[in-house]
Amino acid sequence: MAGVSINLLPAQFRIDQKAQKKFQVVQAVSIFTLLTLILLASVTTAVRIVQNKELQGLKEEETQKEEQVLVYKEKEAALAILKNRLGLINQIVKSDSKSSRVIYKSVLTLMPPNIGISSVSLDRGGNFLTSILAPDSFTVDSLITSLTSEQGFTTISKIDLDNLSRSRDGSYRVNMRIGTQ
Amino acid sequence: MKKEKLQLFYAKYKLLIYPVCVTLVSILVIVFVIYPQIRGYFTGVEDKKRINERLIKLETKAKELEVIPGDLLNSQVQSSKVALPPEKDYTSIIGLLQRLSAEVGVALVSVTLDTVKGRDTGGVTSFSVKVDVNLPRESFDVFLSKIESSPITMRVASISVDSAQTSDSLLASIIIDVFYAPSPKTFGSIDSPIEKLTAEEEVLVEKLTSNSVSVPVTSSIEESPGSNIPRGKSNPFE
Repeated sequence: MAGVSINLLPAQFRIDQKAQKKFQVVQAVSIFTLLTLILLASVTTAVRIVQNKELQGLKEEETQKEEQVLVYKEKEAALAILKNRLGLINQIVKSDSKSSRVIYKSVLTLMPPNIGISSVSLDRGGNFLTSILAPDSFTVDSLITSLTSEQGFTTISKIDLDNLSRSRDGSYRVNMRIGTQ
Repeated sequence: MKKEKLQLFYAKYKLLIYPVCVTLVSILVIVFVIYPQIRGYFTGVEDKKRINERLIKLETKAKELEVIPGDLLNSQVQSSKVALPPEKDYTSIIGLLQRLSAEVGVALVSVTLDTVKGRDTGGVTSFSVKVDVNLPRESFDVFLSKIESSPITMRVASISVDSAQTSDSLLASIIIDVFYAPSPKTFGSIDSPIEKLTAEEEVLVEKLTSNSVSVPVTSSIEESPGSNIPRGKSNPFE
């Protein structure tokens, strides 16, 4: 059955109703937004409180561990001292090639066995001064050959013959200045 | 009258006033509550991560330090301090030279100590000791080797030898550099990792420990109470 609908309400009333409805929608949206924000704020605050408690626990544990390490403070210091000493000793040992003992030994091994060494002087700069006595000229030759050999020049940088004299018995006295590397 | 005006104003603009107020409140809640909390949360996550990492480091460090035998470490430190004293230790040097010369059969004619300020090379300082000796020819090289392989780190700096052709002995004057270095004053922080010894250093420390047994410690090694070895009467004229 088809009916006829007639709105007999005044026009102003319809406008007011429309505005009221619109306002209700705005109100609902606003309340929803506010409630959502309040919920979000509560959740984040709660999460932060839980997290802070966790962090506090971790910090306490951290302090305990720090104390645990501090118990061994002396051991750590001893280890640092040991490491420091060993590093410095290694540094000295590695520069041992400059030692006069090494230079002294190297130069002496180059000298023929039948040579008599009267004096040797080796200073900090590696300058090797020696006075030797050779029984004959062949020994002097072999001394010069040995000192000027390739093996000799791995240790020696220069050789200065200061004095060469022959005595009555045929022996030779040689004063030499040897520069080492 | 004013109230009525206000009510009228609200009734007219409530559709605008209501959302504006809610928006303002929302902004305030976001700015002053939600944003700081979210930001704080992420900072907290980072802090947690950092603390956890530090906890692992500290735990590892504590365990590593725990397993290091204290007695052995102390003896190694002592040996290293004997080998490289923290200060000039004349008494030890004289004692050591006397011992070495006795071992090799060398007559120690004189020992001259250099009392001027030591030479500093790369953190290591040295002072000179001049030793005049009278010794058999064949013992000279042994004596030099003994000096350089002695428990105290020393190096032959210069040599002067005179020998009479008729005699079998030598007169030698040796200048020895004796090294020392002050102990480090500052050590690493609690977070710094343990300084582990390298294989080379392990070998060296073993050598030092086996070498240094018979050398008395006379320098002021302050850390260990065991190092206070009596050095004689405090007042020799008593």
